[in-house]
Amino acid sequence: MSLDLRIEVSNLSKIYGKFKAVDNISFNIEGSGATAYLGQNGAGKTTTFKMMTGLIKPSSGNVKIGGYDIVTERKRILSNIGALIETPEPYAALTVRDSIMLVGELKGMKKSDIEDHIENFGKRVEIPDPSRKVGTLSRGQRARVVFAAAFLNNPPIIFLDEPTNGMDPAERKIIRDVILEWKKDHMIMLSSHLLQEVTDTCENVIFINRGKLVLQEKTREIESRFKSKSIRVTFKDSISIDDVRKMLSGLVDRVEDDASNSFIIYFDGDLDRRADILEYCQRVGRVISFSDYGSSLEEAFVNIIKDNQ
Amino acid sequence: MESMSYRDTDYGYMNDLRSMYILFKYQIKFYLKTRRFVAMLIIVALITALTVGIDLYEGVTKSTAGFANSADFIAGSLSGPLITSIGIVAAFFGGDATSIETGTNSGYFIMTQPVRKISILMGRFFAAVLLGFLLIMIEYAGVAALSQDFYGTVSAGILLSIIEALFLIASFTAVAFLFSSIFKNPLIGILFSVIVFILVFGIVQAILEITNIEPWFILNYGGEVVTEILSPSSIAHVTSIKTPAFTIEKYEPYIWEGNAIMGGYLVISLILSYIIFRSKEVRPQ
Repeated sequence: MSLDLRIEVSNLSKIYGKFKAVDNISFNIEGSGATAYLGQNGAGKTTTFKMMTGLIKPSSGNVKIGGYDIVTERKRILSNIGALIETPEPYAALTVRDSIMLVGELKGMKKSDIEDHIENFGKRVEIPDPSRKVGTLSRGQRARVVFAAAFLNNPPIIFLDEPTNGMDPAERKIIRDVILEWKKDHMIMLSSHLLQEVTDTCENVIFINRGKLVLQEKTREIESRFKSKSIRVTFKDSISIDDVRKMLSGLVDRVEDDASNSFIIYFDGDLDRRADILEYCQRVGRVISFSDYGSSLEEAFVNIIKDNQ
Repeated sequence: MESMSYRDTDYGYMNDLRSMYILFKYQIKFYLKTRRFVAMLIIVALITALTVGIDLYEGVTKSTAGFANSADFIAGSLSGPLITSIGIVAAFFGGDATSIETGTNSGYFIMTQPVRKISILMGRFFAAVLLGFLLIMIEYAGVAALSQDFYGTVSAGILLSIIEALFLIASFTAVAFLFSSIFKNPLIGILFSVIVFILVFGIVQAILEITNIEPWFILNYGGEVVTEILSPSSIAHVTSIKTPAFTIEKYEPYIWEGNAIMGGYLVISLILSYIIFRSKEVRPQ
């Protein structure tokens, strides 16, 4: 048997009373790779993820995962996908090993295969000592246990809703590396507020706003359309912000302090203007770094949200 | 179209039973590693110590115990404390059974797995009943030991009493499961169960008996068959207690009646608990 790497969402809506959390969304994703599902807080991202994993039933429309309907074939689908929705908490009194064993057994895996997963994948994502109780772990450690559990049974399709929530930068890097490796031959659907993380890992992006789908496009294409409109410039020596503002007066929107000898410059994104800014900065002092501040995706995010208000 | 091989097993009733067994197994592990299990062990041990220990401390013997035989002695010793112990144990093991999934983030851990809510509910139910039963056996062991000491025997009727006790634990646990499905907060479910089992049922039963109404719809009343079954022929269904001012009718359930009350609570509570649990979304507070 095989499970197609395909997600089909058709006219999907979720209505609570008079509030449309998700409003008639349709999209298809096919093949291996990572797709980001982005939107503001309350846009309907998690509600969509919940419907795609059978946690809640749609008010209307349908979701097919790998060719199977999530409402009628929920158990079959959940046996063969990985899902990390919201911030799952394993039972505090169980150990790390028991928590992962529980999920593996429910997925129909052999105990030896689950042990192998704990040994190999667990090591990869640096889960804590398997004999420790979940209740004694930090938030980041618990998140890694849950992440390891989501990847049990080599699931072809994986849903990750804010997977790095509560993690420190080192932990986030571990997760990012796993996503980069797994997306080569698996389908990953990811929701995250960290747009740099999305830029680094996802080749496709879906934007939703107020429950409606507003854009589905390749990340590369979005980046080329939304050039970065802010630059971080760092000088070798101590420079006054007033000197920078004076020199760039009329050329930029505003200049803000960043860190020591470092400033954030906001402008209209025009490439000629960008070259001018560099030239003028070099007149103020010796520039040791001149780079985009934030991601193009961030720019796209802000603009798309603004356009759809 | 890219595709990957995947596990295609049976997703029907057999798989549900298997999932139920897995949930049962891990729920037992969960309970055994929680403080509440230790607390329950201490409470039941204390109640047993009070039941048995007072007799020993006061030098009560067969001749002074006031019971004709082992069966009467066991029934008399267990009649008060056993139902209280069962109520407390059921409340603590069942009062948060489903709300831990619908009212906390644990729901996102287990409900995204291939398991139906009926398997979760029943797996947890059997785990709670089994552990409650094992704890209650401490009281039976204590009273049985004392009976052996006093009468040189333990009435075979104790086995029927144990079976009825298992039935009563299942019924109380089912009601606690119902409360856990109604309340989102696990702690409130436990506290509400304790209050209902220990206070509300007892008070309502007392009021009804004072007003000469048979409390046939109270679980504690039905549960009295747990001790009554040790010597059913010697117990009258109604006993009138006359005082100068008024007469109180003291009721004892028929064995069939007690079983019907327990069965009713068990079945109705479990069905309602499942219906409510199935309809609820995971919404941590």
